[in-house]
Amino acid sequence: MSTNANDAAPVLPEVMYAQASPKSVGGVSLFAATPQDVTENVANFHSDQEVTRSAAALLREAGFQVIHESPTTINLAGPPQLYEDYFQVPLRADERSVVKAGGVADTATYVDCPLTDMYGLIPTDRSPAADVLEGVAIESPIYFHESAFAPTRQYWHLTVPGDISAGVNADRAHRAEVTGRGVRAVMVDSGWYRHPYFERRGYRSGPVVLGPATTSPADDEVGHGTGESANLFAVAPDVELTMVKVNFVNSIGAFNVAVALRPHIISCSWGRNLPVGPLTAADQALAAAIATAVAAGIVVVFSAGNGSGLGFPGQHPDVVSAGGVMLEQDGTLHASNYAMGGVSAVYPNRKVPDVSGLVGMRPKAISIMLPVQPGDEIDRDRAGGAFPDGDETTTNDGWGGFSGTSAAAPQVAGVCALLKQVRADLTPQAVKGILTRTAVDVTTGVNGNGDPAGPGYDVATGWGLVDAHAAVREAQTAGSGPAAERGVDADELAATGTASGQGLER
Amino acid sequence: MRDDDPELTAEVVLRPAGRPMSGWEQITAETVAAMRPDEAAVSAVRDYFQAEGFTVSPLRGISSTITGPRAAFERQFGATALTGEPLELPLDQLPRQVSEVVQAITFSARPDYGPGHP
Repeated sequence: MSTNANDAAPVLPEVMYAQASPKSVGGVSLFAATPQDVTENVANFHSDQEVTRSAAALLREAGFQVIHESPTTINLAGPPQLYEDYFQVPLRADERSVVKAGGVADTATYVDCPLTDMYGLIPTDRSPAADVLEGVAIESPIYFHESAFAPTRQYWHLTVPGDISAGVNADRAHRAEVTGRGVRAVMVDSGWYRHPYFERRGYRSGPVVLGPATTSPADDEVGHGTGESANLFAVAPDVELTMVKVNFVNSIGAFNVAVALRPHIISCSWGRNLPVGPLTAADQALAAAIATAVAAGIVVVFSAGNGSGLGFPGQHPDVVSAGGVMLEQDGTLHASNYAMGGVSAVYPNRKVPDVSGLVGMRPKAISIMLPVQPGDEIDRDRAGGAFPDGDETTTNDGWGGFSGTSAAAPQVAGVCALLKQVRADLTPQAVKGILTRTAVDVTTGVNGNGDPAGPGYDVATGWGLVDAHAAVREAQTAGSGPAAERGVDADELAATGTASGQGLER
Repeated sequence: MRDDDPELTAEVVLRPAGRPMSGWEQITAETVAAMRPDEAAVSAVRDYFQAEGFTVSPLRGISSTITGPRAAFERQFGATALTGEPLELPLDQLPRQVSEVVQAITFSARPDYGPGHP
């Protein structure tokens, strides 16, 4: 719907969207029922498929664009004149005060048909579709009112930035002015929406870079990239983020776009389940792209994977593989049963994860309240329902409860950013070495495969939960030589499920 | 892949110098340089697909991206090559000097976790 910024008489928009309701099977019109009736007896307001099909055909024949057919309505679009001619009704535009995104007061154009008492309802009894349609509701302008502040809910969950920062012990690094300043990180994900949460805190993010076969750089239709970036900023608030928007028909191309930006760090929260080999040609191409990036000195972090099995590229030897640890309200830590971990069938002696970030538990790992684009896939899909099956937020509030190792990867990448701030010369291998040596050992719980956590290395959490302060301290005090990655004794791991490392004390 | 995609993009994975590549190959930061294809192979692939109307990215690792309209892909790989959700495209219609240096031309697999499956 268009808005009129001046004082001229309101004009009808060029295109009007509406919901046409085919005759309801219950015999009472959707528009004559009370809201309570519709909620409690929604099946009565469904329409016979044949009736819906006939109505849609008539509307198409008349020149309307039929966008979608649902059990209760047909979504259509067309110019106002078409509505007036087909339904033989007058329409009028009203200019009304509204509050738009960000709390901005403005006006918007609403459309009404004066022949009915219900605002915005077009009667159908004068039209050729009178036998199959019971009414047409004109869409009203809707504006999202996402807040910069997360909604509060009663179930235990973490918020950004505070709980994530404290959870991985980054607050103490921040107070020492180690915040990721001067470090460039790229995320390859579903996009990035400039949510008021980021604006309010002054986080730095450049324009979204479009990967192959992507469009709409200002939108994150899924919400995943937007939300996960809040994990990165929570740990490294002064990092400079660039989002590369990915279309998974060519994730390799998107990853290579990220490499071409020559960042210090690339964080990826995606992959596929590959518990056994071999790799496909596409996997090998992605492996080569990762290897090329790491050989050039870029730290590459991948999530280890969610559920059961073993993720790729999370099992690639060159990446920092991020697993999951659950932080309970009393401060105790245990392995997340939502996170993958195990021994690679493709890469000899490769065990994942390396370290872990903060991740929730099954069934849906709803444990971190993250900002998303209002009305996007995550906002809609996670909304409603009681925890742990839903996040108890609304479908368009711009917030969603989710985590998984998708959240762990940018948290770990945030710690990497702190390390690169204090020691720009650290190689990817040295960064991984510091992370593994300084992680907090997690000794209880099981991962998604049922593998138990225990003292030392285990495939449930790797070397444990990343500790940003300890990692920074080691980076500041270590010499300039390469830091060895903490080793895993394969025989010991196979025999006991855990390994104590190779004499490297914390 | 959707039928209404205005353009398609696929990855051309090249063979390491003079030999086919297996799915068990260890391509890491230490070995990737040895996996690079011959310059002649890179040029042959780039020149061929550019001449056929595709946009070809520089070689990254062991692969280049080709981008073009759906019709160009159908012309190149056969009208039925894009039906369903194929990962790898058939190479048998490519000229020999191209097909013998190409390991595969492939779309990426959809992720099992990440966007869409947090």
